[in-house]
Amino acid sequence: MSRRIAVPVEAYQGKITDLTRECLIAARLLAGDQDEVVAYMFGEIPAEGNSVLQLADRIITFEDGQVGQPVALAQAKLLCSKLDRAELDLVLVGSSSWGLDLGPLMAAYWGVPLVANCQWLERRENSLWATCRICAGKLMVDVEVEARPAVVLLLPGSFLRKEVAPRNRQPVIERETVARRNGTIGSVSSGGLSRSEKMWTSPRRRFWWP
Amino acid sequence: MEYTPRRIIAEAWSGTLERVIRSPSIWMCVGCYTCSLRCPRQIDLTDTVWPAMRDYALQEGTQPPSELRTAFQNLYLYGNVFGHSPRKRLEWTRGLEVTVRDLSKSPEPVEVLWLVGCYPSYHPRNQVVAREMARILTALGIRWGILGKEERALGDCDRLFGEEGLFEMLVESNRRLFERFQFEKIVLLDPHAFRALEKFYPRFGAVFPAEHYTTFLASRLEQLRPWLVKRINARVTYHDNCCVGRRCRCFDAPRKLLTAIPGIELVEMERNREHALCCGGGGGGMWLDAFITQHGGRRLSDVRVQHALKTGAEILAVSCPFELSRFEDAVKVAGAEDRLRVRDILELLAESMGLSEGGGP
Amino acid sequence: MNVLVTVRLVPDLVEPLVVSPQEDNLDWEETSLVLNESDDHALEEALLLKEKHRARITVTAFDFGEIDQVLYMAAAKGVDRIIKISWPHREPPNSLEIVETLARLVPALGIDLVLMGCQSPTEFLGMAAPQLAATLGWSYVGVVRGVEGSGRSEAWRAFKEYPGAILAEMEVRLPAVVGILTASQPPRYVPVSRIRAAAQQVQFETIEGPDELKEPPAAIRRVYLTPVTAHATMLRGSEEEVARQLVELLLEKGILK
Repeated sequence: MSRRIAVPVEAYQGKITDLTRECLIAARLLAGDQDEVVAYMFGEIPAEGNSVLQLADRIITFEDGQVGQPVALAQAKLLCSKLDRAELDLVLVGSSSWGLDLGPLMAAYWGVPLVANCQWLERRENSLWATCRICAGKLMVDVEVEARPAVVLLLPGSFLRKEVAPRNRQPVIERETVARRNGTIGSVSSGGLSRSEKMWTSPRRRFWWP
Repeated sequence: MEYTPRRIIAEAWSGTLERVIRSPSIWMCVGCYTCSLRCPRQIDLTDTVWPAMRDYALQEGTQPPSELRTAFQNLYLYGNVFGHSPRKRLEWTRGLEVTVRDLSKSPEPVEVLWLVGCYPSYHPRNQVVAREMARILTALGIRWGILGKEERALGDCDRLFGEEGLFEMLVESNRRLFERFQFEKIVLLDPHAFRALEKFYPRFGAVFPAEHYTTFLASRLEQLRPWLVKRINARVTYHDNCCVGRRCRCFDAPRKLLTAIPGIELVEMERNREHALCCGGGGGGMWLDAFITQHGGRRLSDVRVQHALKTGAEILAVSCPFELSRFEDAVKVAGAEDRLRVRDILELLAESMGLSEGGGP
Repeated sequence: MNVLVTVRLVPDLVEPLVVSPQEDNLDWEETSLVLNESDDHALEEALLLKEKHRARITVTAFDFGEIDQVLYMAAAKGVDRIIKISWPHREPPNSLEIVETLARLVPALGIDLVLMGCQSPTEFLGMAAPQLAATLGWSYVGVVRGVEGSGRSEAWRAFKEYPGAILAEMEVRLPAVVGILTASQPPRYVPVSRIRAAAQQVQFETIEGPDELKEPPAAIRRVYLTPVTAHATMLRGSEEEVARQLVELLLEKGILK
């Protein structure tokens, strides 16, 4: 049976992040030719994003200006409502400030395993094996995940230099509209919602840490 | 420095000491004891007024400069200002050819309990000096031991910083530690630590006989002299450190050691002995160069190196762990690396004794 | 506003880490512990909310290691209430165990806002902060650098950075869990004398921990120290040669394209 690997796409100012690209590479390596890699895009596909998203078999875009902003809480609820857990094998998210919200929230909402700080993934028979770096990189842990789906947070640089053979078919693009109800995004309601009020580039704050 | 000692007293008289407490000035004192020495009323400003103001500021919630915060936290958690693991205190002994008695592992009576200190234990430049001290003590046939990874800072710097609570905590734990061992004397490389042990530890009932290494070795000069065989043909000037020098009035012992080395020509800087200019490392200054510079101060070590250069000396001799790195940095800033080297007295002694290269008389 | 801060002890990375003989965990008896840095920042953020908005702060912690010293430090900094959670086990609680206890405690204490460090060095099979939010059905935003009041009692602002120097100001409606990365200012220093005074004066409340231990949903098969594969290389030569070597390295690592 073909399994599905979901990769939520992280993009800012018209550019998909390198970490998302690594997640797609990892997904492609795990999926091979048998399984399906589906990229979930919040908002329009950026013009420069086509080469990255070629790694996916399908691209599903959620069209809503609000969803396009990186509010992980709303996006986690949206994905949990839209994705069919029964068909899903794995959700691969980059370990960024967005992914560190999105991945754990999805795992918590579904009650499925979360594996963070992952720097390598592979299949061994029916299990997924992850190698994680913890304690500021001083300790390594090999983890076996049997239950599915699992949510995995991938560390930057884990699949940076991995190459995937170019694919000779274009991904299928599907568009989904998002119903908005009383200012709540998605079909899952909650007691409160984090939403982005303002976004700005702030080069003067680039080195904010003392 | 906005508030000099004179202005501080004036603010106290006028009931506006709060202004001083809130100013950066209270963090800029480097604990050089010059004001204490010069006060005609012998008010011990360095050891009492400055720490009290800092303590008051901390109790009131004033945050110390971030570098001092880090130093305090490291002392509290790890017993050293670097924040290094106590297990690494013995790294300086790696490859050392003489026997190092770690009393914490194998207690035995010794003549000298040598408190190595944080800088000689952890700082690569100062570790060289620690190894020379080990060689010299062994060559003189002195039965010595160290405390290994159980050693902690003695806390003089944090006492001067105003962290009385941290100082008391260190006194209590050090007293319990020292009482476990049998020794005749404690010898220290760090003049600040010596000062704490000699003057302030007894106030907490922790009374231990202690000496700085310069006076300890100078008192054994006749035993040392036959070992000083290799000539060091150099013009040397000595920087008097504040704690052993100005505060304890000990100026001759280091000079005796230097002049005992054949070939050394000792010259004096324009400000020497009780008038020596501080290197700027005491009282927290070791960690506050950037803070002090930001508030209009200047690195005293830069000025002091200029004094040394004026003497035409080729070697600036020191006897405090702070001074090695401070003066070496200042020499680089002055672009004088080809003219002036900074060396601890122990390095010069060990070289003259032929110990640095592994040889002997 | 009632704020809950949970503090955790984590392995002190200054000290060498020791793996258990079975290679399935750290050897916790040989492991030195220190306050989780982002929890320290969460505490600082709570103290700032207390100063600006008269929030009432409750600090909780599991009774593992020398947590008392951390709690005395929190008391010295001025928190209003301290609750210690009993934990008679040799390993620290995992995120499931933390969440189960806090999910029980939060409604009982009438908490509006939970501030926790967004991650800890040993947290990789579950993350307590978002898990707690999901369990409570509350809002969550993590990896936050500061929380501010917006003037409306139910809405607060959290600041979050994204790649490309993008800073987002998120509006968070209470009740919420916020995962703190760093506070708006560095954690304040409190003199040791005040910590020692707190140790003499402060009494902790204690509550029971979780009824049973919870296994994480993925199995740890092996724990080992990160192998050292390479050491530093000194780049030697003239300025031009060193610059050329640097550029080659940056290209090789994919940092320059």
